[in-house]
Amino acid sequence: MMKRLGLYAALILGAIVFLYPFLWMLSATFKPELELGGFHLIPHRVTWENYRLVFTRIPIIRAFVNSLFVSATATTSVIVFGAMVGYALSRLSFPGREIIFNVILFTMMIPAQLTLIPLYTLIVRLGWADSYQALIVPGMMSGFAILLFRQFFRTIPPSLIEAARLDGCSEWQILFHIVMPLSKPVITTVGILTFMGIWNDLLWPLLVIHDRRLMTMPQVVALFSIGGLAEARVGAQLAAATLLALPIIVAYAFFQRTFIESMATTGLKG
Amino acid sequence: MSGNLRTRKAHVGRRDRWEAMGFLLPSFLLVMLFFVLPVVITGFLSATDMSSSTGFRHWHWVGLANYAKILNSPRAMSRLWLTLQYVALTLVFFNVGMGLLLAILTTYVSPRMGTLFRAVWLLPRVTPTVVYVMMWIFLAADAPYGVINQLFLEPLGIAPRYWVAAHPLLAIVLVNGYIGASFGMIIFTSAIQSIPVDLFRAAMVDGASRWKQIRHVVLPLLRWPLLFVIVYQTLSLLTSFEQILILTDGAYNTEVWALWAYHRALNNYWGYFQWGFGAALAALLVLIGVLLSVISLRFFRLKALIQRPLIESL
Repeated sequence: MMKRLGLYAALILGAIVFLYPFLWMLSATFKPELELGGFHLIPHRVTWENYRLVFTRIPIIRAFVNSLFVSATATTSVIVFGAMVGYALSRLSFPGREIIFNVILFTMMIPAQLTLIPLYTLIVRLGWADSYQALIVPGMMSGFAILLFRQFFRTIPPSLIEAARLDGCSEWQILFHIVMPLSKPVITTVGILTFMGIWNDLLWPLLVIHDRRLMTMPQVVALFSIGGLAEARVGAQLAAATLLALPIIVAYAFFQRTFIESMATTGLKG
Repeated sequence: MSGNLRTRKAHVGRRDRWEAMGFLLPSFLLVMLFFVLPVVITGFLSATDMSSSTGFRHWHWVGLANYAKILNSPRAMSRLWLTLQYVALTLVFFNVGMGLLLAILTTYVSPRMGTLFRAVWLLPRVTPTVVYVMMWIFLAADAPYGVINQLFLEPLGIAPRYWVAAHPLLAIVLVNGYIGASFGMIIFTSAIQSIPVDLFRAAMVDGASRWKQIRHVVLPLLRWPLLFVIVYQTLSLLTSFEQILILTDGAYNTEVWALWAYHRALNNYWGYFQWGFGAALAALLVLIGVLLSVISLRFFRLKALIQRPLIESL
């Protein structure tokens, strides 16, 4: 019993250490500048001044719409293309299937940061610098998504697909009318992971976007909070950061169960 | 009847082939353009002097000169040492150590609590890097803001300071470690949960303590997940630099190899971008990554460290 208590105490202490900075940040955005030094979580006097400053100084609404558009487009495409390849690799037979699967595993092992330099020169040569396609197109496919879809589709009974074939369904119809509606857990997982990755990404937009109207949330917030546009107003810096983190943390709070469970069960056993 | 079936099968086989082509084509083009081609371009770039001053037109072949320049650079060795220290410390204490600890702790409480705690520990990975690193900056900040100064050190009479500048290596290890631990946690948790409960029951019947259960049942069965996490995270720690970029931008001697490449090729104050030199740096980093993977596979002696499981059920 004592041991069990000790275990919970350790876990709860750890959780507090993790949660405190988030709560402190959220409360700091409502504190007047003079109160910011304190580590108390409930502001003595609540102010909206910090948020007002953010909305007047930087095009944060435009950046929000940009981020939403870029993340949603790329995520949809990752799901559709990922499901297509995953289906072909698990439910269709054709020569070279295993080779293609290995190539996809190989692309997963290439860290994105390594190809940053050639990718940048490529985008510039394509004339895509400062455009939405520079932000979207390189992220339209993901080896990880393909792997997850392939693993999941292998658990769908072949008889179901065979029956649909006998009824004269095309493979296209089978995938999108029969298999996909059964695949909500994997679609959710791929969707969350991809959306989060693109929403949070800072490096790539920093390289290819210089036009303020096309900037995404992380870029605008970095420019404001770290790049000096906030004129050392800490409250406003944190307010901008909160606006960036909030949508993703709220989404995470909603989906975390599906998210963790499917991440753990979708064949990532090494 | 059987002949009929065979022709139908052959027909389906042929149809499969065409359908498969259609299903694969878009992704195939994307893989070629954004994964395979960049790898080829890296090799090509690293043998040229292409930079923002030569542009895409007036560059020259330089052979292995970029590589020679790196190997002769006095800063290369110190950066390599820093990178290795950073990767090793983060990997051992957080990506593997803390990940394993969290996985074991959260599987020994009720499933509901376990999921909840894991959800909390995933937060640093979920939070946008900019926001996450900003939190650290404010926590470690010099007076009057820093929470660490006020909460822990002022009562002890230690003079306030900016803790990132005071202990830069520790700072980059901690900042990356708290993100990295969750990956191992998820992988190890799913591996532990797939261990048959009977094994634990048998161990308990034999009178094994908690520690002995972990040592002799759990760890041996985690051999492959451990190896996977070590190899995969070594690569990702070597190449990721976003957190360090935002935290220090390489100040206080924290310019790891990957950040060095980024600064030289893509982002620096004087606006002279050496794409060729940067590509050579990136190519060498891949080489280091492959080498480290081989070393961890061969000399880490994982097999000796973790005895063979008594049951080969996985």
